[in-house]
Amino acid sequence: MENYNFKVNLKGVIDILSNHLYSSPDVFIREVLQNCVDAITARSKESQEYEGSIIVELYNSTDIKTLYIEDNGIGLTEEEVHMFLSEIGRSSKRESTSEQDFIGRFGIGLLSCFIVSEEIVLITKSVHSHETIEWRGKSDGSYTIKKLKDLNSTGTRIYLRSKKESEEFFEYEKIKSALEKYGSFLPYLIHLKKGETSISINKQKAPWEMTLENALYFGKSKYNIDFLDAIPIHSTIGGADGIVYILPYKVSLNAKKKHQVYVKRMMMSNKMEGILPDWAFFVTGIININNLNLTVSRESFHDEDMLDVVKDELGECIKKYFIQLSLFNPSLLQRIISIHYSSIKALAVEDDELFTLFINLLPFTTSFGNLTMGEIRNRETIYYTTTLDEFRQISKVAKAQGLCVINGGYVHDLELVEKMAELFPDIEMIKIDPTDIKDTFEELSLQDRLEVYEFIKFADVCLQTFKCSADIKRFSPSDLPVLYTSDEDMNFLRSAQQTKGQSNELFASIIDDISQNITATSFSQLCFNYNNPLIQKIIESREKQLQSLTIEMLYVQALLMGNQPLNPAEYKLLNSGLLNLIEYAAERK
Amino acid sequence: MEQEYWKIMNQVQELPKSQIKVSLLEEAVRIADALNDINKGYDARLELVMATSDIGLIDKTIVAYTWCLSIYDKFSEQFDYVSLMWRYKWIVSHLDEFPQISFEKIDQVYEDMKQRYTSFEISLRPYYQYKHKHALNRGDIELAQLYYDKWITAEVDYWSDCKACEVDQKVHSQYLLGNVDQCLELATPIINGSMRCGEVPHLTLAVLLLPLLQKGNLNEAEKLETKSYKLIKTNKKFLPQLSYHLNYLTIINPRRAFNLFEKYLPWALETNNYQTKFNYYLASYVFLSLNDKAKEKLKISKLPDYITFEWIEAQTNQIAELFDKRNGNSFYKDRIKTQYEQISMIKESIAKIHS
Repeated sequence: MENYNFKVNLKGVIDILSNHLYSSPDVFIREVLQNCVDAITARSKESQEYEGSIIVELYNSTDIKTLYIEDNGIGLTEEEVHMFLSEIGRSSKRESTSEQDFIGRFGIGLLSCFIVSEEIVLITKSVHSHETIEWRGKSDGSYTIKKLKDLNSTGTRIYLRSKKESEEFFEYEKIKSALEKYGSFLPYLIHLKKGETSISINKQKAPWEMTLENALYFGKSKYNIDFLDAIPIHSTIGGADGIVYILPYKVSLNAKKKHQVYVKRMMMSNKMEGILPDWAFFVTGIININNLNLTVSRESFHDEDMLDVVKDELGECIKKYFIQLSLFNPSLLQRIISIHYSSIKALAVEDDELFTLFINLLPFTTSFGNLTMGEIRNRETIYYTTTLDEFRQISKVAKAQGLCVINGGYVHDLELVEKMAELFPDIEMIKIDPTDIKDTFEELSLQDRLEVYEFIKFADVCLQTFKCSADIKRFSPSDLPVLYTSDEDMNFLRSAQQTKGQSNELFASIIDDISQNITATSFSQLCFNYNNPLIQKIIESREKQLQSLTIEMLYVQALLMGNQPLNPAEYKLLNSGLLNLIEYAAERK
Repeated sequence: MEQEYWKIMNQVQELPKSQIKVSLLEEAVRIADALNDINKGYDARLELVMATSDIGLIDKTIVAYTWCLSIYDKFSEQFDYVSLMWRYKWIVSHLDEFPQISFEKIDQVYEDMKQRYTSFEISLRPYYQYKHKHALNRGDIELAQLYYDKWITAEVDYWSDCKACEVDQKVHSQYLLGNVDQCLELATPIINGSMRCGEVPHLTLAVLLLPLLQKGNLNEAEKLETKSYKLIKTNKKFLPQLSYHLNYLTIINPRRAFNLFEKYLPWALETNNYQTKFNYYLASYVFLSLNDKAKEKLKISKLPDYITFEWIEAQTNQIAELFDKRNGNSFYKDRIKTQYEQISMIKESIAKIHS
């Protein structure tokens, strides 16, 4: 047996790394800055009286533009150059015992320069050596090394020449804005030079170091959004500090909220997801993290278990903020809730303390319209349905009976209502369905029952083909002629039958098979309202034709009002019923 | 109304597998139908197929899927077949769990799936995989082997189940065949977490509990039981897995077994899936048979009064008859006996170790 090694096409690898690993082309600035910062950090560990700085300079000749980056950091020896610059996947930083102090983890960051340049020239002198080394790497994967006459100062200098079609990245404004984007809050001074001019990139404090008032002002002007407030957040485990801003407009539940994330003060991504808990989609944040490692692309985190812990810690800060707010600025809290209630509901579901704090302010759909729980709980008893369909069936009638019924069919609402019952056992919370509502209806007197007997028997016959049974009661509101109710099984059966009408023989018979048990027992119900004058008139008329037309039309109308799909037979009813009614009226004239 | 439709469709994207997700999608379907908009009806139903399948409401899955398939056949150029063909697997894999559906019809559906897969140039790998599973459920070992061989040699493509799901199927198959060693060996990458997906290890771990006890590996069984229970305890889809847990606890911890039995019996009462019902009733029957104390406790439990040991025994037998009648053999009736014997045997041998 013989062993072989894979052959790696280096040019291809560099191409993939440099063009596909990073999401935007200006990340080469980030990677270069990162190397500078790490080199300075390494050197400052060795000598106390030393001030690190970074100089970036642009040289523009007519056709070729050159970017020059210099740091006075620790520098590299010849051996280190071979090892770290020329071996992909290996990093000087990885083997260091204090990895936590550095931003990067992989020596391959420099490769991103090949996005904009065919060649990287790097001249370096190590603190530990007198030699000055020049390394030239090409995008085809080859490199040369030579020793130069001694440089005066320790540190590293990089020269990048623009490659065709990458000249735009070497424009002064582009470089300036990239430096500002990534390096504004870096701890070592960065100067950008062009000709005689020199500006300093990072003189301001980071928002997480500002007073809250200044941080809010900073955020408002940076994003040009009139945020409602700013919340400081902190995680000890993640070594994280930041500011989150409360958005002044409603955000959809599934809008992934993206945050600007710095790692050791270097901007890593301005669209990082998942650094805050899922419920926190009403804020956008600027967060600096010291203790979490990034993946190779630097655009997501490595250690998911650790991330979860950090996420919880950061989330806790937002929760604490709300508790403070409820004590000291209830009107702002109310405003936030009125905009972000769906997010706050998610939060209240998972946290008992916040639930107690918020529940009275949260809005719900009820038979009396939109009300907050604070308004709802003034009532003696609170009713709720578990689905939207049930709510729709009964809300009108419930209102007329003076019952306040909450629609539990929306996301989180049922959970909140059930939690309410659990946490406040003294409040009476009752689950209600259409059958319960019907049980509250007034039975007819014996006299009335004799009156309607024939009609109800007849209605039952008319509706039997639709698997619907007829009943009659007295109930409010009296302008409602009928109440149509159906349960889960009946809804399933309706959709089964509707589907059967569409499908081929094989699948139609399978649907018959699986619904046969339900078919035997399920009926929907059409309950006529004896308080309704129209119904009374129809019954009194004792005209079979009028009665059957009315029964069928009321049935179809009730289905339509309830968003129920009509099966073919019901469609036929709808089409012919109205015409027949008109004809009936015309003939009577 | 259209706005309401989009509101719901947006909302459900974020929701975990749950009854509320199903209810909301049913509402979206009703709205789409009321609008007479087949595009919306199709999209909402495709989601509904997934949402119902995710929590084990297979009868609803079948109805929603049938609608999509019929609409696709009428207006094929308007709709994308990719999601539709992917979901076909979920249909065929559950049909035999309803004894009302004859083998003839099931075979016809498989044939329909095969024709469609062939015409779209989709590999028949999943077709053979589920045929294999179906043959095992019928108790036809020879046929199961035949389809197994075809399954594992067929080409893998986009429509094939993921690696983890395939291994899960193999683990289940070996368990049903009584090959304890192979079952555990195949499951190794799933146990150590190197092989996983949206439903693995959820589906797999519970199956390993009895085999581990049979091998006398009580510690590992205990570890997996804890891990598995956490994953499955709130999703009705995993009632078959909870039946395995009931088996395990019958042997190891009768007190917890009673709590589990009492907690999940309502799920078994509720489901329309007879296979799942049977598995849970059978595990309950065996548990109560082997524990006189539990039988006593049942009389004062919070379950409805009609739930007695005799009722559960009768139900188990009745459902077994339904299956055996359709299957033309005594596979299910036999399982009642063999499971009782197997569990009492493991229980005795473990009691011996302890004494």
